[in-house]
Amino acid sequence: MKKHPSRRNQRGAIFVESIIVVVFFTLCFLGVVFFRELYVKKMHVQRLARASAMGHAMNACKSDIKAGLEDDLTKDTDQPPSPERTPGKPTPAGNQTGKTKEALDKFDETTGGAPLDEVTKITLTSTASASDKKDPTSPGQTFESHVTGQSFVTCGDPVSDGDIGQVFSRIGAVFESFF
Amino acid sequence: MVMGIFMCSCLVGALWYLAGIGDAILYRERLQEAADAVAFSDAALHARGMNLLVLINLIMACVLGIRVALRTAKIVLVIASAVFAAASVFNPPLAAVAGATSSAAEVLQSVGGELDPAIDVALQGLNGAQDGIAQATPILAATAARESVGELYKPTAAQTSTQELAGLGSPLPVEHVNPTVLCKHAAASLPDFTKWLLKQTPLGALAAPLGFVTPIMVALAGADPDGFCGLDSSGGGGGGGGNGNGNGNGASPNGSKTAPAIDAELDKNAALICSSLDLGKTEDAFTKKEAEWLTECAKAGVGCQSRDPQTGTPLKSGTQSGGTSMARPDKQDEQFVLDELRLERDQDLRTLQELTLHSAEFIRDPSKCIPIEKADLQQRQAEQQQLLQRQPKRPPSSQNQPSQQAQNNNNGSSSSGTTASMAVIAAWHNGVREAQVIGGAVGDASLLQRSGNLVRIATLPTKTPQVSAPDAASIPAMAQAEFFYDCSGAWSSCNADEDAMWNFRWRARLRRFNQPFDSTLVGFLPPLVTTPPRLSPDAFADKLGQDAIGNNTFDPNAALRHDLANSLNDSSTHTHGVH
Repeated sequence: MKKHPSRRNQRGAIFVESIIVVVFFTLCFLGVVFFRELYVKKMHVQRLARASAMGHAMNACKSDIKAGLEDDLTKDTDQPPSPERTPGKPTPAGNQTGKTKEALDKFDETTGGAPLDEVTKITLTSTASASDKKDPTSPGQTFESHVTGQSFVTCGDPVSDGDIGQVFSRIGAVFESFF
Repeated sequence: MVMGIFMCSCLVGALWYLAGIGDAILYRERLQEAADAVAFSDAALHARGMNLLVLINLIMACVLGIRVALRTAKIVLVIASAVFAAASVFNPPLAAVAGATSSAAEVLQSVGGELDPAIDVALQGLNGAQDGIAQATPILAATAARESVGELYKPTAAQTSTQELAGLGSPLPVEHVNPTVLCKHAAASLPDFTKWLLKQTPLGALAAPLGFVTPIMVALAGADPDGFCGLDSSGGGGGGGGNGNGNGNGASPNGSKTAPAIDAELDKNAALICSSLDLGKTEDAFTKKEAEWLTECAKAGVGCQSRDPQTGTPLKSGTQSGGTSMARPDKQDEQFVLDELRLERDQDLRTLQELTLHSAEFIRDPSKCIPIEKADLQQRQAEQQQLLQRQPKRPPSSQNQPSQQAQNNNNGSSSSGTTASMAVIAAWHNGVREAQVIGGAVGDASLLQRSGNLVRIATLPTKTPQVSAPDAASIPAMAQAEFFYDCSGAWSSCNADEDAMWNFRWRARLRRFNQPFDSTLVGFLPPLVTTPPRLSPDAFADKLGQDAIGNNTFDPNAALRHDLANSLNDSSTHTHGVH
């Protein structure tokens, strides 16, 4: 005859099962938070890369992308821009938020392509993470991943009036693109 | 425990579902970005092509500036020689100076004569390069956008393509029109170059006082483009080293020919017409031109009258009632065509009446024909010029006057067609349809299957159908960009005196693109225009429509849903989606 487990044993089994399920549930919810963070960050860097590439291309691939990004990202924060700050100029380091710094620390810009068809390539990398710990130094579960946004656009020409000096510099630029 | 495992399975499924939604959003974002990038790149390369033409215009001005400089120096020396010669009457030693300046003028004359053929060859070569760039740029731009930018968006964007609304293989919107503009810029290039040189040296402060020279040079060159620039020598010959006796008629339909040359041509053409005088042919020409004018009037919706309604006899001057909308540049062009055709009809009628009147006299004495015909040709030219002055940006009609036809037959090509700088065509302005580029990207929908397959794990795979990519994933992404001349004023002021082709201000920008239309998609790759597999959009539209208008219950979004239903009933929306 099979002996029924005692109530005490049953409670123990339920406790163990609940620990397993609760841990799994916690991990899954953490996963949901992580995925949300991942896709939001991914979209964020992708859009930043796209806007930077367009802006850079419209400025003949000669603009200071970092300054432009700082400008845009500072607007994205709660802090109002300081009155003395002018667009296109780098924001003082003290004003940079974590979000800004994070995006700008992992930044790459290269220009390549064929003669007269230079293509700018902007790469921004950010980190998406979700953790169940309040204190970063304490042990706990953390999901973390790097997300990268890349954008490619053909560079435009610099805008200027057609004076004689421009003729020489433009001819030089044409030859430079070939050699 | 069973419940726990069930809930955990559901949660895993939900997690992958979330990942699938994220993937789908990123997929569409990336696809849209690819479409934006190829459209912008194509437009940017168009803009670069235009800037390259600007550069060649400026180089042409510099090259022609050498001739202008030599001729200006020669004129100055001749004047100085005359002044010194006159002064030598009172102060005899000045005669030696007069002789020296005269000799210098002769030297410059001979140097100019040596250089003229080389300058002509250079100008013609640069003109040829401009024509080649104008023709090749759109094709190269489309190829480069696809190959050098579109390829970088793989694998998400499996295929990318661009399509210009100007039409497949249409050249850049430029043409050679007015040699006088090139002459003015050539005149300005000499003082500008001097100023630039001074600025490169410690003598930069001297550049500012030279500012007054440029307008004087431009005014002189504008007053006598033949004398200063000798653009009539484009066919070879060098223009005789600059005779300085231009009649200020540089913008005439005869290009920049000198007065005696024009007179000789008129004599020749008049003789040609008189030698093959045929009243029947002249009458046929009038009837043909009359029909052409009336046809164009009908097309433009303008009421035109060529004959007296009661007698049926041709009116001396055709009349136009109503007109095209002059506010739109393309309509201005249309109006100009009508005016031109009416003028040609009036001229042909006048010629016919003159010939009819004098035909018996001409048979008796053919020599009397030539002066009358010559007067008629001169009047035609004057009228044509008046018409052109009303539309200064329009090139002379391809259906030229008999004199122009004869001239073109003689020359092979008009001088303005070989040595003029490039200008934007009359019908073009910022924002026109011909400046637009549509970019499209179609994605690799299989990339979205991963999450679907993982979600399927939780639904007992053996009993559920295979997961396929979402049908909407094959809807292409579309974008629109344009190239434009960066100028804040109205186009007429931006392009005053053909300025748009003398400044490096051609750029590209993205435009809003709401609804694709089939005519824009002719040149696209098949995957971008074929109907993607969609799940009964008609039924969906019907349902939305019923919800919107069929229910008696209050629906706060009825109007919006009705619009959406209408939009979904649109065939192109079915095909290409809503963007």
